[in-house]
This record gives sequence, structure tokens and C-alpha cells, in this order.
Amino acid sequence: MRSDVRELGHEILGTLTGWERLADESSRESVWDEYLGAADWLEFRSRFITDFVAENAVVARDAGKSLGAFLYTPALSRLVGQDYSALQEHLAVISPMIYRFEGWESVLATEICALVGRVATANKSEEARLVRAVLEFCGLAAESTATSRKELARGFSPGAVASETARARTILDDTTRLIPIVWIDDEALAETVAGGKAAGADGINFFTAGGSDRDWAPTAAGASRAAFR
Amino acid sequence: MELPLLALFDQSPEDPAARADGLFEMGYDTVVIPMDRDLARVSKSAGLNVWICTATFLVPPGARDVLARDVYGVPRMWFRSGSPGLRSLRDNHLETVRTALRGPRSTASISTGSASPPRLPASKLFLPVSATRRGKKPGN
Repeated sequence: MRSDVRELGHEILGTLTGWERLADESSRESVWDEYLGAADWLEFRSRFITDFVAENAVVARDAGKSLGAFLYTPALSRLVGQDYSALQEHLAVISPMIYRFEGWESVLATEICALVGRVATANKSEEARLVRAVLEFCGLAAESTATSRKELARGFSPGAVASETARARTILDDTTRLIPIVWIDDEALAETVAGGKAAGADGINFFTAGGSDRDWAPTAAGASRAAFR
Repeated sequence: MELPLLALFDQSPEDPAARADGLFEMGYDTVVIPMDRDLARVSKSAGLNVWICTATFLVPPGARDVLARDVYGVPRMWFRSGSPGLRSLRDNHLETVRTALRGPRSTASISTGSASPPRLPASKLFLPVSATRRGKKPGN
């Protein structure tokens, strides 16, 4: 299993041509067929996480409480063993962390930049092909016009929140509430929140890192009331 | 079951009671907070639902032997978390959730990683990190 993951990392995720194979739907499946152990590795991780969340759900149920989880957004969740479909059975609320700017891990731009950053490119043309291939594979090509690492680091449009919410909504049934968490410090907050609602969010959660972030609370509340009430 | 419609993930406000009252007046129905009984109490008193947020697989300071390993077997800290496969870390977290839910103030628990983690993107945990160090050329 491990050797397949290593080889996938070097030969596919470490090369431009590999990413282009993954980005193209007609060749994507053949990649996974060539590295069966990598798919097993992802499945192994997913099983561990799902089993553990199930244990937490029992604790919550015994206390007469509900359990929710902040999960990686669907574009990235498979990499970290978070299977929305399997997890929803145990969770009352799923909050995809749809942070569209660059920051720390779990933030869309940071994660995508990390994937792109692993691959050596010879010139701007190759860099552009690589950025577009990674975005395509992650299902985010429509939400970014970036053709370079520098542009990618500027983050995604508010549409990314809508599209990732819609992806989660497609997976989840009505028994689990979908409440995306978004960064509160967002100049396009009204558009971000309205997009999430239109895509099927049941509510909205705002992340604040403290400090001046809190000054955004009234703006966020106003944007949310307009969208949800 | 009280479920959030409009929630705020808030951390250690300077004046928790005033903050909670203000959020309720703005229209928030839920706060997601760290495990803090006083914060939970004032939030509940203000009329807010309280969701307790706990970090998952938290690594005790200095305990490197509980870290997850990448495909090369190298231990790696990620989101201040250790290996999800270690029974001791799983049991520690389950006990944390039990404690968080013990009081009448909380409605639910939301598990997550740390809010201020070291910078190690998800892809770095899954992917062989030495690929770029080898400097492989595209197409090789």
C-alpha cells in the first residue's frame, strides 16, 4: 500500500503530466487503477476517521446531546479521510470549512498552493497548465482564473463557497444540517453568504480569530439575516 | 434539539457577558466556543445556544511518540493532532467530549482541529513530501 502511495506521489502528484492525467476525466480512473494501493490508503484513513466519529456520536447520544464536525471542504476532504457520505450518519451538523483566502491548513488557497508547490515547472506556460490542472482535479476551476502560484495565493471568489456548499449538499441527505463555516473577515461577505444559502446551506457559521475580526459580527449578522430569514 | 442557523465561532472575548448579549441582539442564535464553563454560562444566559468545540487527537506537550506517520514512516504533527489510530489519543478525546457535554449549558459538541495550528497543509500529510526535494522534472 505504502509503495503505491509513494509512487503516486512521485510519478503523478509530483509531475505536470501526472496532474493533467488526473484533471482529465477520461484518464483519471486509469491513474487510480495503476496505483490501487493509494486508493486503499485513502479508504483506510476514511475508515479510521468514520469509526472514531461514530464513537464520539455514542458519547454525545448518551449525554442527550448532538454532535457536529468542522470538516475539510469537499474539494479536499478525501485527502484527509473525511467521507461526508459515511460521516453524516453520525453527525447532526456538518460544517465544511470553506475558507476562500490564503492562511493556514484547511484554507482552500493554502492547500491548493501546497499541491501546486510540489511540482517543478520549467516556465510560465507549464506553471499555468499545472495550476489549471490542479484546480480542475479539485473541482475548483470555475472559481478561479489563476494561472500562476502567485495568483492562486490571492484566494478564490465567493462562488467557491457556493460551489463547495453545493457539492456537500449533493452528498448529504436531509437528516444532517449543512452549515458551512466561512471567514468573517470577507469584503464580499453578503455575496459569500447569499451564495451559500442559494447552494443549499441550512445556516451559516462565521469563523473569528479574535481581535478585530469581532468587529465584523454586525455585518455578518446583517448579511445572514438577509439571506436566511 | 437546538441547531444553529446563524452561528459564530468565538474565542475568549474580553467581556464575555457583554459579548454574548451583543451577539444575541444582532440575531445570532448560536456560539461555538472552547470548553469554558463561564463562557458557556453567560452565553446561555444571553439566550444563545452553546456548541462546545474540542480539538481532536490533541497531542500532549512533548509527546512525539503519538504523532501520525507519513508514508515514509516520518512522525508529523498536523493540526496539533496525533495519530487517529492510537487508542490512547482516541480515549483521551472521548473523555474530553464527555466532560464538555456533562454540564447543562452545552447543547452539543463540535470536534475540530486546533484553531491555531502549525502550518502543514492536508496534502503534506498524505503526500510523500520528499518528491519536490528530489527535484524531479515534469514528465519524468
